[in-house]
Amino acid sequence: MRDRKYLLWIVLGTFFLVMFNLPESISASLRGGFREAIASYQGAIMRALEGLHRTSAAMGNLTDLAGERDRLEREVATLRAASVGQAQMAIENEELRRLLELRRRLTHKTVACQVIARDDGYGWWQTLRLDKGSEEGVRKNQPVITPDGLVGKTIDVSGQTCDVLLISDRNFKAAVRFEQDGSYGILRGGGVSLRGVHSLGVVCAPLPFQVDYVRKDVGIKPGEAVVTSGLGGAFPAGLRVGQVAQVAPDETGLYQVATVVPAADLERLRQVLVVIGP
Amino acid sequence: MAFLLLVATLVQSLVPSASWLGASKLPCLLAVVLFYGMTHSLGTVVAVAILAGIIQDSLSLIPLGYSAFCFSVTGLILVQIRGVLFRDSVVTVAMTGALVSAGVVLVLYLMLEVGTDMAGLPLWWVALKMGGNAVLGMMTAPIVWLMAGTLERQVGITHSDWL
Repeated sequence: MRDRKYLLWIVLGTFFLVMFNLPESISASLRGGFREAIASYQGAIMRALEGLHRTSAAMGNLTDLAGERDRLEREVATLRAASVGQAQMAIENEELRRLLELRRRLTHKTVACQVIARDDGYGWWQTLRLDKGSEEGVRKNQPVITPDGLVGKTIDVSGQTCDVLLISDRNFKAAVRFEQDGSYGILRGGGVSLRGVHSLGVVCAPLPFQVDYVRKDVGIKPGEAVVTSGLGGAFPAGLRVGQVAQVAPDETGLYQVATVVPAADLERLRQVLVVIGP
Repeated sequence: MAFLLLVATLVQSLVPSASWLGASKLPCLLAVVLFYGMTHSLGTVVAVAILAGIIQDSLSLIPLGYSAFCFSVTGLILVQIRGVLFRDSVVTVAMTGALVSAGVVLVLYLMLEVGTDMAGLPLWWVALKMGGNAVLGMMTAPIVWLMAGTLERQVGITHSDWL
């Protein structure tokens, strides 16, 4: 019995030694296999949840209406509920229309994707899972955008899904440029706020980003737009990132640090575009 | 086992996290490991722990094997100490759920800090995440325990089979 226990320890030790040193290709295909096995369930449940969310929003409005105007007739309430449903549809249509317009406007090749899961499986990173993968031409480190601006970059790709690291994550970095001034800096995510509303449609409220290493002799003003610079080749130049909220000297006094409010609504992403090539 | 892991995976990946709990997700997969660790043989516990860990790593950006390692250690510890625990008490299950959830977060954080180029997280955030996971683990473990126990009884595995 004691020998069997030792054997188990040896087998386990060897197993983990192999696991920690697996080649990237084997590790990626293993991850991809597991991810895709549950991606279809995730997609179906996500769609069902969105329907539920839409219905609950419509019902919430209906309740408010009844509270505020309890003397109004039932017909009025029913009509209002119907109009709320239409408004939700109109918002969704508008989102899709803007996405389509952006796709026509862009000179780059893009793939339209739907968000099928939010957050990574254990909450260490801020990620999204999309319903398209390498079969549609998506590769690692490609920019992900919406009509409002940059959302993040693909970080893990399997055949039919991909994970996106959001720009609000502390691990996200991008070379950016201040649009009016023309000066450069390095943008990094600020993490998430501890306050804010959380519901089915909302992930976590992102904190403003920080742009480091901005020369201290340039006069950046609050409200100035920040776009990707194209330096380093990770992102095409000119993708909108956000706008400056405030500027201050950094700890060393050698550079300035700009706080930037994100342009894209990161909390309620449903459809996005992945830029797959020039 | 496969059904339990599938349901746990879907719930864990789909329930949104709250930032005031350190963006912690419901530790459903860990709760399944906890259930097996308290009620099944060593071989089964290790198999479930490795499978649950690999699934969790696949859903996340955690390098493959990190969660499996943490879950396996958790399972092995539970097998060693379950003889001295009141396993049928909800309080025991809840407290164990809280402790192992917080412990796994700490060990995973240390492994990620050493083994990856993840940006250094502030210590207060890690503490918040441990607390958040402990709270969620305390809530999740008894529910998973109850569901898994009921499911096993339905398929013919009774409490007298527990080792």
